[in-house]
Amino acid sequence: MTVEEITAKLRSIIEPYVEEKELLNNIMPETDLLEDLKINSANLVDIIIDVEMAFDIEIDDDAAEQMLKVKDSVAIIQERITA
Amino acid sequence: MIGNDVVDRVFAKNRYNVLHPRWMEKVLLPAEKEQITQFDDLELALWAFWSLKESAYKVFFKKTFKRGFIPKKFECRLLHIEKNQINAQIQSPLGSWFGKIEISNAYLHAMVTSQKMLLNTIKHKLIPFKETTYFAQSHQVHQHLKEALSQLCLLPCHQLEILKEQSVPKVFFKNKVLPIDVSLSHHHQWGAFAYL
Repeated sequence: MTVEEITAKLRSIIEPYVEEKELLNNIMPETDLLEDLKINSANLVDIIIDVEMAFDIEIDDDAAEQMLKVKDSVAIIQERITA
Repeated sequence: MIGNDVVDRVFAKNRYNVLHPRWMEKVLLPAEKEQITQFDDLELALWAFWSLKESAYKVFFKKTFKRGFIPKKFECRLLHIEKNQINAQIQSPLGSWFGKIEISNAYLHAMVTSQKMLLNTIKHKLIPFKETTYFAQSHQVHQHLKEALSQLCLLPCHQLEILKEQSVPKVFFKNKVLPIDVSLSHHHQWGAFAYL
């Protein structure tokens, strides 16, 4: 999968957890899930579980710790898909 | 230092993966999983741990400015469990901290401090929202906090500001930071603040 394909799939996973939908219009690699998209921190667990199931990968604690920005999440997913 | 976290129990029901087996794996430590057997209501137990860990994370961030999804870095031990309140001790990477959770049918409100003696001096307020958008709710919590601090400090409310410095909320009066440690939280229909 390309970075663009992973980003698009990640975006569709994140979308239901973003209450202010207009914030989704400007998703960039630097976008922070909590600070910029105002996702409730409790939803981070949901997003990590959804990502694991959607990409059929496992995200361990060390990787999950880094999943705050879109670019870091995409990198973690890509690394595990290609592993 | 203080951190708080509010959970809207009504909204949280069935809207999170909290009962998914992987949720516990990602959030709880083995000793914490043993403690949830003390609860009849599993969801309540899981949110209790979450809210304590999130509150502890806010204290941790204030002290280190390190961000991350790190719920397992805070090991919670529930010391005293009652219907409407839980007291807890939290082992953090920076030492032993203390917390309490106030519980109603509508919400959980956790508060954690880095010193035990501060736990009983916390001032806090729960705010049921009328507004529905994130930004309007955020404004409402700020307004309630400013009103409370205005009475505490005997300063005009309109001259107080709650602004973030390096992602940490601070209270300003005429562009100067006041020595008040605040924490704010909101979740769906509930907002909350706590301060020392």
